[in-house]
Amino acid sequence: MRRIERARPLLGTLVAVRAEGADELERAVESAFAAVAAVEARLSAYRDDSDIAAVARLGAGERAPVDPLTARCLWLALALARASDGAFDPVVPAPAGAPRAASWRDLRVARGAVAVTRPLRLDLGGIAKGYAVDRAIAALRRAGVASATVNAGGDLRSFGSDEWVALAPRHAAPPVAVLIADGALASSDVVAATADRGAPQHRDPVTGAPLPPGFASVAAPRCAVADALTKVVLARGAAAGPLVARLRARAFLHRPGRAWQEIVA
Amino acid sequence: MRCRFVLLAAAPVLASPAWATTFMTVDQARAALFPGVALVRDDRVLTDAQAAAISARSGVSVHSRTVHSWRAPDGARLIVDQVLGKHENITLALALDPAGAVRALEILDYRESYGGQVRDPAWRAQFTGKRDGAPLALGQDIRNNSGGTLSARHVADGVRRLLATDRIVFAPH
Repeated sequence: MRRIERARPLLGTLVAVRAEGADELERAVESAFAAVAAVEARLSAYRDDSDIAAVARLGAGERAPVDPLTARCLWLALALARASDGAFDPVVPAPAGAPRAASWRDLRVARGAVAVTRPLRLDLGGIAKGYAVDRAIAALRRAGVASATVNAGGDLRSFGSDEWVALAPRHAAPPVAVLIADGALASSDVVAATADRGAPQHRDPVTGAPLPPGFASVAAPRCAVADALTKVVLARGAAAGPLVARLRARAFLHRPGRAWQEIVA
Repeated sequence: MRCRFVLLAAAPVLASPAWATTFMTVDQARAALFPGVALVRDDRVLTDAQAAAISARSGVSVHSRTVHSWRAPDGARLIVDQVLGKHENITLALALDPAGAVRALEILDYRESYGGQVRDPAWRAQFTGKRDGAPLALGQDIRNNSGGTLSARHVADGVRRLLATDRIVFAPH
């Protein structure tokens, strides 16, 4: 058995891929990076040729064909928006105090196309990174490696090996670590994300007001689900418990000056 | 999926001083990016004028005057360099084709602090927790951390600076 670890700048962060297996490890790792790059190309909010940019150009009642990768990610995002009653929302919210703007309810995904009932902008920053990690893990499984971990700037998933992960809020917090095996872990930090890019997914989806400072880590079978659930936990706190349990996830929340709290049903 | 959440006890001794990962050595990067190619070492030391021109062209300040570089027979080039971020120190290997365009980019190693906390020895020491009676050491048992998104902006800045270095020091192509 050999083991290699490689890292590349992708998704606006560093993506590290570890793989262990008998042979063809380099090719397996290469296929994982290619999977991440494919998601980035289709789902980036910053590229004019992405599917996200195409959706932003749609008028009310119009539809646009999208890549199957995009359709699958949007379908999952909509399912999570519905399940969380909009606490997770892939549609960019209106600023606080603005009249009702578009939400996930104005978005339809069917037969490889996206339709909108009013003009809207998507931001998959709350799920795309996790989705890319899932695609990379699928590529590594197809390549036949014995174990692997894909870590996209702290959102990670592994199979065949145990991973210890230190949780690192921007604010002071008691030190904790999470052991994850055959699953995913993702974290969101309101203060860190807002400082980095204004992070619209860290606004209350109903009122548009910024969320209070907090840090959430979620373990789930899939990284996209873990990624999206971090936003639900930050927005809803203990009220997110039933959804976390239903999705077979575990969630940990820390707010400045408080103790770590596990969000349970 | 299995998942365990562990509160780590504060410990009085200092843990390993840096959170660091080595992905590839320079030799491995040479072999991976230029398989079967005989590279010739071609290091340079930047003059004041070159450093100023690189800064002006790339918009990124030049920290080190030494350029670690290898040349392929066809004019392609490998540059190994470090980028310094607010919380991280990253060594990267940039492969350029004979026209000076990016052919590949690999991260060789990575040292970080995050949220400003890792630079604080007291915070690092907290990670000398115990797990089933054995110490749980940051960077060894705990190989990952999960927190606020780490930006790759400094890597992008570094690549821009190296592309300018290539134009100014090694060009005209």
